[in-house]
Amino acid sequence: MLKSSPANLASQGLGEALSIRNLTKRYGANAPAVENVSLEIQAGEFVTFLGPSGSGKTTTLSMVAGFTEVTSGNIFLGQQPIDELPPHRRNIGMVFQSYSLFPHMTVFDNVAFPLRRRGLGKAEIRQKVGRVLDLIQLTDKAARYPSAMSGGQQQRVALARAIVFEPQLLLMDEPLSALDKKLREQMQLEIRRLHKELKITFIFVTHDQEEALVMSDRIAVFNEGKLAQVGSPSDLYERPQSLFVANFLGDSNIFRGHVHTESESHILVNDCGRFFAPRSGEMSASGSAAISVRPERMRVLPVATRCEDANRVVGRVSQIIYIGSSRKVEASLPDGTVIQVREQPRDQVEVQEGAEVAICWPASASTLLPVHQGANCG
Amino acid sequence: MAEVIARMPLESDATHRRAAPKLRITRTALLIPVLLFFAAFFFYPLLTMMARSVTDVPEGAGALSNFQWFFTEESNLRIFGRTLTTAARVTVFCVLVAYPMAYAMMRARGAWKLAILGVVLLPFWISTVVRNFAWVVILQDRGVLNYLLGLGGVPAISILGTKTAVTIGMAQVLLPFAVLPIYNAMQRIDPNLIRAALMLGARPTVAFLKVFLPLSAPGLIAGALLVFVLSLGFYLTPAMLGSAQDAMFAQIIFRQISELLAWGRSSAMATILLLTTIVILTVGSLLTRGMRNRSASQPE
Repeated sequence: MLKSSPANLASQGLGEALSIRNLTKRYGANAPAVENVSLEIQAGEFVTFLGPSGSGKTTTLSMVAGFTEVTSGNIFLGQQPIDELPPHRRNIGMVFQSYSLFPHMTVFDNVAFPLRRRGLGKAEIRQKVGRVLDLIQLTDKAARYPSAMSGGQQQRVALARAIVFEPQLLLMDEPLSALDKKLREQMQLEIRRLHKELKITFIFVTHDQEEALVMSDRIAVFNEGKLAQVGSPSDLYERPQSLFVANFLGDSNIFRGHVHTESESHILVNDCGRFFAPRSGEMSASGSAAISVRPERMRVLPVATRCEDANRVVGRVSQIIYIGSSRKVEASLPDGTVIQVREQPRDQVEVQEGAEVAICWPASASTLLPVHQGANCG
Repeated sequence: MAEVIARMPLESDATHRRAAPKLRITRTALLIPVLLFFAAFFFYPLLTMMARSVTDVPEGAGALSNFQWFFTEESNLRIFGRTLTTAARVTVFCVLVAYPMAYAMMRARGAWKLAILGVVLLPFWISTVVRNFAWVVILQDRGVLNYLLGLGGVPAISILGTKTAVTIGMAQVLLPFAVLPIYNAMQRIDPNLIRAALMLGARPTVAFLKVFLPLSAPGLIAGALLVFVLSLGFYLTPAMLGSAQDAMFAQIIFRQISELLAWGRSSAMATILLLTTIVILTVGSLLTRGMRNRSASQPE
């Protein structure tokens, strides 16, 4: 729905880098809402803050916007420290979850609002508003009031209003959560395209991991006020560094046990067998650990078949779920834990519910994660 | 029972058509006592009064002679004008006090919110006579106010019997009528709208003037209208706190009846007061409806 932007609008809005250094927010004597968060965001980057509610992602965003006072730490936009500035002097665009369009103003007046605050002339305002309304394809709705528009249209107006004054940074606080699934997916791609065209820095907050994977250059995963991990979507998905990240982004099968290291690989031992994972530098040579395996990296084979892969575990098929593009097989291991396998049609071998099967995966599909204690098969 | 309810939507239209009027009769029946009460004690006296304003005329005079008398007697018009300006003064005073008070109430949490609400509603729980006597005690020449001023070395002032005393007394009674509608309107404003305005570059004062004030305006107008209209009919407070020279409309209506037994003329004056009130309320509601329509129209 977004049209290609005129060249002049795209060229003006070059983003600034955002540097968050040792940011902490404490409310009274409670555990800090945000604790020692440091994050360098490149100019023009699309970074998503992902985490469950109460993880500190929204508080961090609110400190960047200027609505929440920083307890300690600093925020720099480009070279300028901004944590002491009031919100209206930060020159940052923001899109709210509830759109927050001014209900007593028309679409035109809503979009013109930031330009009028900056004292622009009438002709210039008309021109700039016209340009962004054209960009979001709502030129014909300029005289409408927000209440006479659909949720998707309101969200596009909110976007237009947040970028019309050419901020170097755009914050979006769960902007799509009020839309239905189809519209949400459409808006995700549009925001992504808008980001490419405007080249400004985007920070997008969501609790929806799928949304984060689709949209971001990098994802910052928050958990309990701290940054759990920062990385590209594929980094986080394929190389999670903690159990939390492995579980929060996509589905994972977790095997816990005792680890020791050989020359080539880590070997995790528990009651179900020995599991191989590629060697990763940071892990200690021995102790409690877990390995995480994505369901789509595993294969289900008849129990008599020999496995070509390094890892093999035997279980009984408890459920086969047909999803159309793939098949999900759930199998319970001897100790009762259930693991999931997702297979493309061409990889599928005929299996029956209740049958004993072998589940195989290569060592490279295992990611070794630190855990404090516990052992289970899967 | 449950079975019957479960089956209801499946019943034929005919059954529904028969059931519906019955229901309507029951609802009307519930309203009969209050309708009778209003008919006997509100509409009947009101209509009698309006009828008297055109029938209770001196012999040989026209039906509108009472109204003619009202508009030709200069003192009537002066008092009518004074009543309007007093009402306006009370309204301005109330709104100026009520707006920040409603704002504080909106921002307050828990016990503070209840405390402010209590202060707002306090006048409702104390009889008007008691309150007016309290103001007499406070405002009289040797009253509490002048005692306190004396302690501070300020010369005594004479307030009782002036327009100021009447304004203060009336404003105190009418304050809740201004605070509650304003509070109601403020509470509906999404706090993110103010945040959005700030993010878009509006200084806090500009965000207030451009976003918060216009969105709370319907409540402000509703409160102001209520206070103004109620002020027009005040009798006791101006009688107790004001002077005879500053009498208000209700007082001269009462004098026409109690001293001169001029039922026709007093009826005409009461009718004029009623019509004035209706005109003001109509204009006011058209004004606020315009505002509401703009921000609440339905999608096409």
